[in-house]
Amino acid sequence: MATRQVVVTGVGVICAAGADPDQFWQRITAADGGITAIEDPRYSAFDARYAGQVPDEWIAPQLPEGDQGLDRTAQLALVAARQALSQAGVDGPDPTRFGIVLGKCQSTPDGAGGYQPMHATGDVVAGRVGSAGPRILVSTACAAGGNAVGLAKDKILTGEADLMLAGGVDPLLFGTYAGFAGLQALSTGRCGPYGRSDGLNLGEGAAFLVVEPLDLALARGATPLAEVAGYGLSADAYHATAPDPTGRGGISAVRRALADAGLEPERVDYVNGHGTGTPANDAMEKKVMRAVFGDRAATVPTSSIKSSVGHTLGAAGAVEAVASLLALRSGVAPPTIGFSEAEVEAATLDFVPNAARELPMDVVVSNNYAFGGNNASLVLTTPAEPRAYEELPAADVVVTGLGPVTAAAVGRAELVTALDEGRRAARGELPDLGGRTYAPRSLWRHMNQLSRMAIAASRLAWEDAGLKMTRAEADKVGVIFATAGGSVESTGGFDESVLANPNNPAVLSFSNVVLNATGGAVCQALGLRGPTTTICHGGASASIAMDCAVETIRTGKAEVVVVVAADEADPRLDQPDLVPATDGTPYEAMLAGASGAVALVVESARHAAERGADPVATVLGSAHTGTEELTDPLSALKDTWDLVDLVLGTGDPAEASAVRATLGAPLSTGTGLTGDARAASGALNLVLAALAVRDGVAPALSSLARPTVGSRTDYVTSSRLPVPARAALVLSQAAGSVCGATVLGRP
Amino acid sequence: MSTLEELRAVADARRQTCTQIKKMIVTRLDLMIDPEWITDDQPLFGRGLELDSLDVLELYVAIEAEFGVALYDSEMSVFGSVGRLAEHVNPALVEQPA
Amino acid sequence: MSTSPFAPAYPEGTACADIAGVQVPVRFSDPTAEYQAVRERAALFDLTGASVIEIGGPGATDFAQRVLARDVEYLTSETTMSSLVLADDGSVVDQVVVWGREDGMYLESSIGRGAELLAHLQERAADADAVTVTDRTDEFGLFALEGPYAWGVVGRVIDAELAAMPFESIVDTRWDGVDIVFARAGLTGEYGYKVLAPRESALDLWVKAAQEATPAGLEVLELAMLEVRQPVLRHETADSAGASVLEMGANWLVDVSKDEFVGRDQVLAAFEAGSTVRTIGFSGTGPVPEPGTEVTVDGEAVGEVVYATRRIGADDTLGLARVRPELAAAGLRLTVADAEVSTLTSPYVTPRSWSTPII
Repeated sequence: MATRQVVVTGVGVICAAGADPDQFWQRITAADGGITAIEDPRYSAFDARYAGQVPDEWIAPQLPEGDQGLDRTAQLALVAARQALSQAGVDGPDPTRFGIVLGKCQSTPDGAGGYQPMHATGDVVAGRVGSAGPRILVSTACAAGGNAVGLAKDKILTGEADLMLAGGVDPLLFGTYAGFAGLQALSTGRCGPYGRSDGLNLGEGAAFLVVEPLDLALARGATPLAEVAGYGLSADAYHATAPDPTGRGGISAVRRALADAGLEPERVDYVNGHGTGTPANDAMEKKVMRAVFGDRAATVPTSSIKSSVGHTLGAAGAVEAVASLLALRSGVAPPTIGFSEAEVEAATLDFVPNAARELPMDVVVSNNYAFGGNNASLVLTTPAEPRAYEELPAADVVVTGLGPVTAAAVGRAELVTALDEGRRAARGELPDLGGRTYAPRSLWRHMNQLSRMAIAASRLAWEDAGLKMTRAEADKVGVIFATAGGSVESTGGFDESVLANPNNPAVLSFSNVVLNATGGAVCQALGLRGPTTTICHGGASASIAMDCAVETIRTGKAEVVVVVAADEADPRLDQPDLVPATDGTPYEAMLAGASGAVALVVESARHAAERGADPVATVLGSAHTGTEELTDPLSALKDTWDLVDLVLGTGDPAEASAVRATLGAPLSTGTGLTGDARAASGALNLVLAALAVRDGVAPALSSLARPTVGSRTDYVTSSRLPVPARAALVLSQAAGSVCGATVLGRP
Repeated sequence: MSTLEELRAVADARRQTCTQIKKMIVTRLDLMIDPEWITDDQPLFGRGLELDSLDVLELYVAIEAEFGVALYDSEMSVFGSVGRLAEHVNPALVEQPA
Repeated sequence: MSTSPFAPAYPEGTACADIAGVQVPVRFSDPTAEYQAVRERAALFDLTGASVIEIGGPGATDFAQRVLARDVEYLTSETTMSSLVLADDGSVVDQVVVWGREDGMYLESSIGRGAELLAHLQERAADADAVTVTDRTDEFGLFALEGPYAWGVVGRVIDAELAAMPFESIVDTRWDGVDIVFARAGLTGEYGYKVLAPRESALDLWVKAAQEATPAGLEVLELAMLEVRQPVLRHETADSAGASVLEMGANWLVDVSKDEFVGRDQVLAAFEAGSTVRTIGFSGTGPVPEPGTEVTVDGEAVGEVVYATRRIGADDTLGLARVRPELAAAGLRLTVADAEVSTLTSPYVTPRSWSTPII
């Protein structure tokens, strides 16, 4: 199937090697690296003192007056975003058709140094550049930036957007530095990827690529710089911080990317590697090269720019995608700097050591291998002539397994009972896993609460789906992990340990601080190695993850995907007027935070039918908008209104207003059972929508006396619907960011 | 020739350190076993207790905190068994009885 | 009397022994060279003498959970593990290597204990549901490559990717057109890999491996196992009667947190009741003591020798003794048959693999 060609029309980058793409490329190819000694005295606690730092003087001149008060992360991102849009010649795009996918690893502080949700950076950029279309914060650790480019392409293929900004950003933060130092992952000097391999240097920066359909780019007179020919994702399912030494995860990602691009390995001219400089990564990458390219391996130049810019975490994939694009366009392979004479001699592959090299190229592969074993590979090619294409097949996706792990009920059967009994959990209550370890003991004990809940939910959903798979089939099952805040337990424990003594950080906690750690843990526990992503977008995380799962199946990247959402109650977010589920009812009172994990097995209808599965519900449609108006996604799904017998929201009265103004169906929410478990509540609503359609059960807001909006008759007050719903709609929102709607119907 | 009494005392001293280490391992690494179930001789990483690289990093910190001994640059043989670890944190155990 | 499928390739002068009705190579050439191979380069071990028993049928996992002392809930066709198999009274029937398969699993017995294991499993299967116990030993050839550079041999002779497999993982793969099951697992503490091949094609693979690794016999294998306190069942269980888990110090091969398995309660009861005797390693300069030789302190009997052997590459003897619990500690001087011995901390030899990275 020839899909629509998607191209890059503009790039932007700011990192240690340059304030903009021109300076960046000039310095990279001149082997003029940007890794410098850290002046900040706090870092003298560590033996490792080098990093790829962006001088503040580079940022301010590239920002208008009004942006000077923004936090540094947002500033870096905006600088790069505007550079890319400017090069692309984008002027006054339709906001609703213009979206952003941003990769970011670290939780970054707001302008006042305080807490802000992960997606806030993306929201600031979106606000400044006029984007109100699809918006996703992806946090697949070091692969996030590359992942973002792939997801942006998907949004164009599904027809949800005509223009996308895909990129990544991460600043240099002390806590993260301490964590990597504690893992003994840092080089004490400037790093030597593929040569000395004695550790990595961290870096900071941002990069963006403007991605749009080739036909529309040409129509508006833009110059395609490169084609996003394909991308591939995989999970190692091996270890929290060490890559699978056989390299099979990395190999799989590259092969999937090439397959997606319809290209054979023989066509690849240059590989931009992950090349962090750690012994484990570098050794693994060499295996990937040999396995993918076979006898040809030593003649395929592969270099890492991390010895020039450092490891920029969430930005890395995007910075390196930009470097790969510039390499493609200029016909020059950037060098891996940092090789000694002896190391050049000893190298068995062509790492383009120390000096750039002229190299005509048409096909470039860019690889990123993240903590938690998430791998991403991107294929960029010289733009081809426009050709005829087919739209993606319509989504024909069903939900076949439900795995709720909440304080009110664990497992599908218990959940139905809890609904009938009107069970509510007390404040701070945790799901009761009943002493069952849902993973091998040696793995389970390394898991924090968040990962344990997520693994339990995934396994329960898997068992509910009745899936029996061979090893080979399990290798292709995707996992999309959704979380608003990641592990509060590990982040807290880690932050405390760094404060106490930066040289003795709690390393187990640190490995769990990366937001995709739990996703990686689920892959490891269940042995799933398919396309894997982590969505970190507040309360909308689960519905966005569901979208990604459907897209993954539609684009043929997997037949089965586990969508698992998990969150913990975060005391930092508790305000005095929030009440526990036992003391108040949603739509009347605001509920306190809760911990939980909910998983769904999502499958192509064909695959489900072939194995004789019993689907619970089918996905009829979804819409996400970069606006705060709930009526926007509702209006986008107007075609389904006649079928929708039930709406499930988060408990926000604004939802009642929006529903009354549009489709007017009875409203309820799963948060009444436990409190607001953010991403997990979003996924619980999807589970409840499926149960409403299958069994005619729903959460009853029976104690609702004086709803803030409307009257009791606007809400669901009995746990049994007169007949199973023909369709149920789930509303989701991330404050100040996006809102979404997902409709499930009868299979 | 040592007497039974003397030997018992030497063995006791070793047992004390070994028990202390076993308790520390079980607590720090959240193992669901009785510390005394761990034998002095079984390997700690790979087979045996099946600790991994993350556990080892955690133990470096724990051992320094509890015994004041820094193991960071030691070879992996230090973790060859509880007995080996005991000898490293309490060198007195390795002196031969008179 | 059965012979190894690799016998046709044995060099002149290979010494074999009859171990439970199987001709097992004890020494191929020069034990010193064979020992150096396993501790310094790569040795090739013929594992004939081990039985391979398949547990199959829909009830395989449940059955395995009952008869194995460790948990196989998460065993997959890509993992392998070791476990004890206990009798009703908690004594050790055998130590097995479990090979996970797509359906069911293989249990590889220790050398010489296959018959006991098979009899025990068949008896247990008689009143179990939907499980088959099949002795498939004759269908396979099984050998191991162990040593600090065994990974290099695997890389050169089979496949570089396999050399870097995670510990205790297995993979179904092809080697020179032969479908084999390949495992990363070992017995000597060095890097270890195992090849399970169809019997008719196994000899060719052995010959290829022997071009790069040194064939080493049972004598060296069992010494190397002893040096890292890997149980050698045929020496550590008296006659055919089982030994006790706690007495052997094989606790790590038993998972008492698993709810139910044959022998669990007995082992736990023994643990609660406190020690009877415990095993400790020793070395000495006298002649090699026989199993059962008294261990004394000041003339008073405190235990007995389990077994001992002459070291290779050193001038002394190395052995295991079972002694009173309060004396089961390293760093003591005891007397065995009028000679002085010192008790040791495990491992008695540090595997060079621990400081050799796989490149």
